[in-house]
Amino acid sequence: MNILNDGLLMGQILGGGRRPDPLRALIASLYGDGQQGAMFIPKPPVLGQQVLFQDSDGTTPVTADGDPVGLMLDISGRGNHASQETSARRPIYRTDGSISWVAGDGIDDGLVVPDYFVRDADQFMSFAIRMGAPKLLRYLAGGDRDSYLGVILDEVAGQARLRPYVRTTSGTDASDGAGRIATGQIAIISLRWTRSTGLFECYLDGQLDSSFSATPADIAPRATTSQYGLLYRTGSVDQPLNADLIGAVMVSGTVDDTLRASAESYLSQLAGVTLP
Amino acid sequence: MTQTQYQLRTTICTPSAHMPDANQLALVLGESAHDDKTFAGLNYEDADGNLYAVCSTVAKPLFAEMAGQPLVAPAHAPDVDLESATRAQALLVIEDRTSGDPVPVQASPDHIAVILDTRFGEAQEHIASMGLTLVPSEEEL
Repeated sequence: MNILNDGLLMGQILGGGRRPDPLRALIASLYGDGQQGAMFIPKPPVLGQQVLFQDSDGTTPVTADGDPVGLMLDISGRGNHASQETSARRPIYRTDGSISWVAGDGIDDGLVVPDYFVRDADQFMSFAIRMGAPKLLRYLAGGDRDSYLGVILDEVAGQARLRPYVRTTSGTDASDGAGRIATGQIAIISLRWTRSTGLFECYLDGQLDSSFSATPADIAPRATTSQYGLLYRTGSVDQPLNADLIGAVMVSGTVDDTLRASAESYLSQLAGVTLP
Repeated sequence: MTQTQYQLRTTICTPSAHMPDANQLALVLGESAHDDKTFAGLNYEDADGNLYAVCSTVAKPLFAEMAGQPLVAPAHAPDVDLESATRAQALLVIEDRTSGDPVPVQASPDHIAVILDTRFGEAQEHIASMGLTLVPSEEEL
């Protein structure tokens, strides 16, 4: 299913004589050379199109604060929409009038993204979240049995610590971050895997929080299912996160520091915060 | 912006032995043909170590009405096992916080504990109120 008219959207982004708005410019920068991935902004209308639906088939639009979200359209133009088929596991659309988000209850809520990962490419993800109640080993994003790359928010002394990981054909590597995220705190979290060097970096609010050197190798699944989770990890042990997802950028492709900063800046504006 | 029809939050705690029946009940009361996967993992335990599958979700007022009436197969699941769903329905013990005098409910292997709250109710608080804690998660990394 692809509710967005992908061709039209990319045409709108790349074509025309008008100066593109910041979101269109960011999408063009991240995906304009054919990069795979997804971008999620959980507002009912984005770029003039309805992107949130109550059901996973996309028949009932989200129109009110408190509606469940069964489908969140990918606005990158790649058609990698996030969905949840089981109604009780759908996160909730919320807004305070200035910012909007999908709220994960940390019990069973989560959204599933198709496997978009180009195995031999660099990888980048960036998220804007507001932290809920931290628990042990909760996943902001992850694949079944820690496939691909992702990030855990792990409770340490009542706050959340970032524990990013990458899974490649050479194995799984992970690190513990230095920073902490308190309940109610908004955070901009970015992950970057550089395929050619094996360098994995995790950023918190634009600052390097942890990094490690792994063996250069293709990113890989570890399980038979290849779906990917937001606000939880897909698979039988889903470990959902109690948090509000304000925005997400996911790219199979090279994202340099300038472009990373652009993505983080856009997400921070969505979240109503200023990065240091 | 309009007002949401989902004015309730309900948190449901199902003992391990009753998960199949509870999933059929979820299929009847839910909105999707995939709601037989509502209770998927035994991720919570009580003080005695009994295991439970828990879900928490927003719901329309119709949900509470249907939960107390004879069950009918919905359009999204015409082949639902109504006998199984009715067995689960008979086990429901509901703490209705939208009423004036809610009776607190605790998780137990003998019943399916339900907290029915306004949509601003907190799932994490419901879990704690029912006497449940997380089973430590396995770490794959």
